[in-house]
Amino acid sequence: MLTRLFRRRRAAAPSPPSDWKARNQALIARLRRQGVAIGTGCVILTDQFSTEPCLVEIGDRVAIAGGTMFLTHDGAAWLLRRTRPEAQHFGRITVGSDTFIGQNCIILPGARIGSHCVVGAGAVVRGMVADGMVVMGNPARVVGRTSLLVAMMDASPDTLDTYSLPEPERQRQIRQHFGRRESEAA
Amino acid sequence: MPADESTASLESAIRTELARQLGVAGDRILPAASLVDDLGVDSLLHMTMVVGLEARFEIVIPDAVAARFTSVGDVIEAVRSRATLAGPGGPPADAGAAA
Repeated sequence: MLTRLFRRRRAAAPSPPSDWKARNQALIARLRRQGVAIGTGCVILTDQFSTEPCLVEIGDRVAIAGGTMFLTHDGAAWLLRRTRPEAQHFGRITVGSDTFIGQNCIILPGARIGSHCVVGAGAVVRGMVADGMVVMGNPARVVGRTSLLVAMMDASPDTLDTYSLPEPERQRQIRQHFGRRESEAA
Repeated sequence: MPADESTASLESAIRTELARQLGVAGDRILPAASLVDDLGVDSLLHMTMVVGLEARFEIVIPDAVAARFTSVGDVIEAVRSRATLAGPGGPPADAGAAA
């Protein structure tokens, strides 16, 4: 029994990049059917597009990490129930092109995130984020400009050209770069 | 103000602002100090430091220059050269007072 469970877990180990790319395309197709407007060349690793996916519009070449949630309604409308029992309050969300939204962010109703923006992991975004800005925190605040962040990343010795490598080779190069021994591999 | 004195007050203001941006004591702002190894600057702090210095001294540091800062000396030189060239008045009026 345990052996069978163990085998199942082994089978569920991280998939090679080609698999997740296929899954990403399938997810984007599903989200579009649900009403999310999604441009071309996007990578979307979350399916949390609230109960009104038609209110979310995403530009081209946008990447959204896992765990990020888009909220298109404000549950505080609950407080209107006594006088307007059917009331619900909604807000559109737009994301410009060439923007990256990190892991586990919350994008609140009415948020307008510009193009060439970076939203740091865990940010709670409300209101407008101007083009080219890096925002972080709760509530999200501007901490810098995307062009500088990109230049810093480009200059960093820890930026490796490994994106499309076969997974074992990718892991090998990362271990080698950070001075980890082969025997330390999981 | 003599040129030497103006330069000294500008450098002093840069060091003070840099210490404030990085949240470290002023005596750790030494030209040879490594931003990463000696002062623990990560990429986020690096970025906020650059943006903060630009706002304080009303200058623009090109991304390609700012991205390659590795020491305190690099930062001081980049700000000093641009703040000096910013206009005939040199450093902002309150640069000396901030030192």
